[in-house]
Amino acid sequence: MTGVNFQFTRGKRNKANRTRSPATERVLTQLKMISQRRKQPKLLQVCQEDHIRHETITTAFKLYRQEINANRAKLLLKQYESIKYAMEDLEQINSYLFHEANTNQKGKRFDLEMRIPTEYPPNQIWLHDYTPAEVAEKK
Amino acid sequence: MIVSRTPIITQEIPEFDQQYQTYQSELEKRLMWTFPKFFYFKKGTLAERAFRKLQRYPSAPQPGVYFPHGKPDIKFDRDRRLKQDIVLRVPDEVKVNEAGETITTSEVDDETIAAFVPNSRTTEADRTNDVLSLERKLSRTLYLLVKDQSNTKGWAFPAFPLASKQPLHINAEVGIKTLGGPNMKLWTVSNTPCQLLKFSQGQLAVESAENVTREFMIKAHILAGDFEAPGVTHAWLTKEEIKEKCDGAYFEQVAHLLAEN
Repeated sequence: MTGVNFQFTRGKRNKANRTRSPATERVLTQLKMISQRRKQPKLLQVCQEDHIRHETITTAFKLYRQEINANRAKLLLKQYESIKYAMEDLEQINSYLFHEANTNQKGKRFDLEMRIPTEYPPNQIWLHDYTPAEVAEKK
Repeated sequence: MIVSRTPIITQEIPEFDQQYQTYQSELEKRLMWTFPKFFYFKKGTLAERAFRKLQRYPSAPQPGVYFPHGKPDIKFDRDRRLKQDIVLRVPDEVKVNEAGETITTSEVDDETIAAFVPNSRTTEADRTNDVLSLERKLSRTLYLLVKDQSNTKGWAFPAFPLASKQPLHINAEVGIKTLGGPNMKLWTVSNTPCQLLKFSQGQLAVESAENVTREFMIKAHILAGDFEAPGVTHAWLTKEEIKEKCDGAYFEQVAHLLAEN
């Protein structure tokens, strides 16, 4: 902010006693926007009882999430073990099938028709009259 | 093959999660900085006037007036002890006119913005409990189960005998299209089987049993179309319903492959 002439005027600021250029005013407004002065809320002060309540809620939620995450980890491990069991068995009985099941499907993508769950269903919930392109061509 | 219909709508949020979210968002609002309206609305403009008219302002501290809940600390039209509510638009009221159509107050005032009325989260199939429909239980993952015709296995995931020189996942894809018609769009998750079940004489076999029939499971998602098999009893079921219908030992082997929601 070098070169800005800060000349203080008595009374309310208006166009007549303006000392700053509109460009400077614009910069000052933008700086005011990011400054915390007068915009910060009052410090949240709670009594000890409320503080204990807050701690209890936070701890309860943390434990609840921990349990969910632990269950998910356990489930993933179980799924991995079952894949491993199936593949080890397949390797012993049929080497061709094992090789096919074990090759990396490089470049495989999620289908475009897959959708992410939304809060409310779409107008057409399910596409019932679907005909694959190769079947439609034959007709 | 495990064919699943993935959820179409988000799952129901558990009550505890909901309460915690509300608590956190209220805390966040209380600790939020005051909205810098001078940055978004230039003083003296029509937009600023319209914005100013919509706001509800806190009462300012007056000399000689007692405030039982503490003296207001007002900066930039906000009481800094409390959260700030910014009103951007008066919400529309949804009304029903004489013809039975839902209209909004903005439509009455001939404005272009109408109130958004979302589709129902429960469908006709939920009300009639139609297990053949793919439109039931939109927030849950549904799995295709067929009833074994020879009735040795009961309700189970569809299984197909292996054709020679064909990988497992291709065989499953061909098999399901032979059983349920070609008008299905399927997306196979992987070429790797996710589980192996061993049967001997139609029953789940123990580890040491000989002459077992192996059933490798491949996962797939149905994206469009219907499973149409006139001669086959089938159903689209959630995990809990599968537990009720299936044999206990069979469910135990596949339970970890099915989604909770």
